[in-house]
Amino acid sequence: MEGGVITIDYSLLWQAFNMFIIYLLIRRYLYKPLSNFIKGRQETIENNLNTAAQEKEEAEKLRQKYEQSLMSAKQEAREILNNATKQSEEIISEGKREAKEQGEQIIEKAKKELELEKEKVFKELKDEIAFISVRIAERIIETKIDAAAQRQLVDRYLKEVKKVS
Amino acid sequence: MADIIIPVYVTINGTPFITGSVVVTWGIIVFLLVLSILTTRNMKMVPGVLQLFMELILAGVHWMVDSTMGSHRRSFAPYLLALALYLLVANLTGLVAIRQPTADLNTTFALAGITFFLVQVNGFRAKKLGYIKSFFQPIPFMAPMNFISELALPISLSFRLFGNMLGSMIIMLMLYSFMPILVPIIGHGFFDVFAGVIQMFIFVMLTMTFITLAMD
Amino acid sequence: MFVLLRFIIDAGFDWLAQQDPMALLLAASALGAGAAMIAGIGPGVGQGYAAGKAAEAAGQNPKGVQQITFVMLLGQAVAETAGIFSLVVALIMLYANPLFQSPALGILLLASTVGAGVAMIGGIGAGVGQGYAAGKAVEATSYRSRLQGPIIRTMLLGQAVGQTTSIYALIIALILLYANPLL
Repeated sequence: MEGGVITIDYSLLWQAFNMFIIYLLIRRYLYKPLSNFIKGRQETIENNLNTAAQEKEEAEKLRQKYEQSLMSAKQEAREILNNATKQSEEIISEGKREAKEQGEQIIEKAKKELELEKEKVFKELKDEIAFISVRIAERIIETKIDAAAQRQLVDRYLKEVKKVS
Repeated sequence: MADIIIPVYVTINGTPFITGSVVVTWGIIVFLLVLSILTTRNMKMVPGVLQLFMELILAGVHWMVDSTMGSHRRSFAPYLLALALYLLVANLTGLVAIRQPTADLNTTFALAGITFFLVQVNGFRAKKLGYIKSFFQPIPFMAPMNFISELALPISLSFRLFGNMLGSMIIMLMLYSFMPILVPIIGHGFFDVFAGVIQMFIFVMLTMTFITLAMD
Repeated sequence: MFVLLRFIIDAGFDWLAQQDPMALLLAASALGAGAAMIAGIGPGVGQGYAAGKAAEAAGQNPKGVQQITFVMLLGQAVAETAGIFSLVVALIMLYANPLFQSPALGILLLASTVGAGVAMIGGIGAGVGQGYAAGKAVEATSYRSRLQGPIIRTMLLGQAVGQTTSIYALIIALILLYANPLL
């Protein structure tokens, strides 16, 4: 039997039932999984973005901390350097002073020795001059002078020499 | 080529029970099932072509539901998605020389009947007795008029879809018999594709609109 | 004067009665189908108005062209409905006229068929009215394209109410064809 072009028959019920079946199938196999997946993906992306923002913040903080400690390290290094320079300068100046002192000491000692030598030489010279002058006096006078008178003469001439020296 | 007469396969007491449209609808069910399973099988973070296409359709349905019914009524989205997919595929079967199931008054009546059922039930659930009272607004005398205009919705929905699809089918038949070579392509593009998509849109949007109106 | 008229009418009916009833019925179907499609006037005017408003709106608000086009297409497709109803009735009469199987009086079948076709002319009003609603909705969308949702909802509601008379026409035509109480 042939159906018509525009008819209403029992196939209406079938079509309604079919539509209901399609609804159930689509809801179970397409709508729920797909929309859950999309929601999950959105949440994952949001989470990733949030974690990324957080990590960026923390990285920034870390960077600042490192920079600070870097600066203080540099400061410390500079201070150590300053101290070292100062210390070395002090050592050098101390060394210089000591050297100078020692040198002066040596010079003093040398001067004293020179004085002593000078005294000694003068003394010897004095004795020589006294002896020679007496002999000369002897010769000039050609008189025998007694010892006492000799001694008086010598002492007199020693005093003269002492004044001169 | 598609026949104007709907082929009948099973009858009950002489009236058709299972017709060609029912069989085609079964085929569409299988097709949609396969499509759904293929889409949701290995969903990736960066979607492939099929998944992307279905995601776009789903996003379109969500957008329509949000803008027409409000985002707190997303629970209607599964049925509307099913309706939209079925109508889209059913209207486009004309492209493959199958008589569209929507060119059968039974199918469109069934769909319009479901819409009518949804409208009334949701209106009643949302407003309880107030919904029945609204039929007697503004004057109790208007009640019959209101009833009839409630019935006008499924009638216009079913006949609109049916008429468009039947008209397209007949025009395509005539085009094929007159100029079988190039012109039918344009005809297919305009009547089958364009009209099919727009009629699907209209059906779904009117369903949404009237459900919303009944609930507010 | 009246005698002449009566003579013409009698002659006409005689001539009609002599024709093959099937031929008359087919002729009436053809007439009815053609008369039904006069309803194409309505959607033509209405959709044109909507299109014109859409063009004006696009010129005024180029950024909302997408929404404008969407609303226009929606409204035009609904305005099309009256024409589609007429198409359905015309196709019924051409391909599956149920009155052919009816064993009844010749003139009555003729009149029913032609009447069913003429009834669909009422779709003109619905077509024009719904097209006007579509045009105004498009205009509103151009001013506030973010209110697309409520605008569409209101337009569809109004158009559905305006559809009522063309549905009455369709029902009468279908009754005449399928459940004719006069036969």
